[in-house]
Amino acid sequence: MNSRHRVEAALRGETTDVVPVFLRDLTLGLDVCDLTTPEVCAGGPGGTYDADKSARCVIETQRLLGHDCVVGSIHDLGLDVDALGGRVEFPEREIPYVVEPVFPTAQAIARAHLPDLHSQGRMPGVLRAYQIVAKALGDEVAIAANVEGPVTKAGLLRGLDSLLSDMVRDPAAARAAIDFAVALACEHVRAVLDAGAHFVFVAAASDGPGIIRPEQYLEYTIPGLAEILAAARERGAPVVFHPHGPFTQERFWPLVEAAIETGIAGFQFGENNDLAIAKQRWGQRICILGGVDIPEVLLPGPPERIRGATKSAIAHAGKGGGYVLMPSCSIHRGFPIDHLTAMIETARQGAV
Amino acid sequence: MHLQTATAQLEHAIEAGDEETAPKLAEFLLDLGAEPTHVTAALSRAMARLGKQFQRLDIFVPDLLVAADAFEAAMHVIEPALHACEAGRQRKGTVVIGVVEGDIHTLGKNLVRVMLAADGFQVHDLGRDVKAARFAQAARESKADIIAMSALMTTTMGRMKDVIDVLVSEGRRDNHRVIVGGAPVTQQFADEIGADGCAQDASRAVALANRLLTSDRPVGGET
Repeated sequence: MNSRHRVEAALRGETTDVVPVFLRDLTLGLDVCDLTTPEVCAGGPGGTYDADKSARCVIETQRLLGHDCVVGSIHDLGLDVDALGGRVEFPEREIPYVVEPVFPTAQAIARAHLPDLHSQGRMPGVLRAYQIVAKALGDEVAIAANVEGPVTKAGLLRGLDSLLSDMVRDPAAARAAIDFAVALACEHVRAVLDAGAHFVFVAAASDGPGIIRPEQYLEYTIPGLAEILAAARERGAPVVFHPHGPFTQERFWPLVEAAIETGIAGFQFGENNDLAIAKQRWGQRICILGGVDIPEVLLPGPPERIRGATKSAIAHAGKGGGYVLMPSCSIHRGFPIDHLTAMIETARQGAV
Repeated sequence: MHLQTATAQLEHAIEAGDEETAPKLAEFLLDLGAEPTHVTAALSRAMARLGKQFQRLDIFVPDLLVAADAFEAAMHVIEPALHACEAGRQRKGTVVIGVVEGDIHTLGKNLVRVMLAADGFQVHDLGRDVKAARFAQAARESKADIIAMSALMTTTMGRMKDVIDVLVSEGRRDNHRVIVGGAPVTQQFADEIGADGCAQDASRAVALANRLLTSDRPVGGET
């Protein structure tokens, strides 16, 4: 069983030889290859994205750490923003961030058009990076298309504070921003799957009761997720959903149920969740993803503590298959590599 | 309308995030002859209740954001009267707050700013992407009791230590208490960089600030 088969089997809910590991390392490879953030994310001609360097980061990181699943490019949260007229800052050794959102006013949303991901902004370079990674690793290693969730992507385009205020004061504006974001996310899904990704990972930090009301999640996130799923199904690809919030608290169980009803293959539980509850309640219906808390364990370490947390996660969620070990959220440059090694090595020991 | 009724309605307007009604009621209360501190006390009670509800996830960020806007609109109306009276000029302490360099995630910082102001602190907001030297300078100039820093990303949280290093290098570390917060920030991290405390949300930040002001020694963190 190679890494790709392992991940695909887990997403189908099947047993695996060892628990597969997905780091969702979005910018860690910049450190592995000792490259600055701007030279990869905006270092191509005319400030475009350098596909070759990006792919090299992903490939060399996978070869160094041996994890089972990669995101097919160095990923930043401003990939759509500059193509649509916003502004992204690229610090040398940190990660890109949005300094001017695309929609400073609610009225700007109505005038916006979806960018052509194959010709505008930095996305052509990202897609090319996915192609290179797919060619180099795709037979052996699973490749995830990292796509932001409905409220999360809309928050990047509109500015999260403005979007959340709109949800209360101007729901039509919030709806317009989220509809635009979902349409854009669906374009991403199609383009990145065509470029060689095997499944879709919906990264949704602002889509959940860590941020929004449960009724807003049901009103905005779930229908948007269903549209993203439909786009993925056109290519036959499964979808994993990762919103933030304490979903294993009983009062939020209906929110997980609503996501499962859209047809997702997996749900990644972030910080402040109980994997044993997740496995017991939903492990027969979907793949459970998650495991080691980043701020409390994986980042501060030490490695021995990480090994213990990894064993505990696998003990709670690994039995019977249908489980992918992950950090509680994404991994970025500056992260201690030996901490990730401790997690991966422990998973490889097959401690189910 | 009686003072008591208008006060209750103001609190309700804050909790409902009614940015139009809240300043009108604040003005109405002043016109009725209420002391400015009576109005700020009402605002403070409303924001404190919201903070507790947010901690329990009975309300969510959008609710708190619009309430914060209503609070600030009401404060804008009463600030001249507040500054004019001796009691109104008495603040619990001064806080310099900002998001560290390289980080532009202001949402959490803004909520902490509003909750601290509602609790009676004088708050100087430096905004986002604030360099270490700027934190130190602002704290020195305002004679801040507390420096409050926020970071949302693991890649930027290290900047918090830069601020403490500047304070140490200037020989002023003991002049200010330093508190930190943000999604990846833990008490362990706060201890490692030499901060005086860490808070996971706006309500806890207010409680921590109060404890630090009345404590002779750095506290071990908010529970």
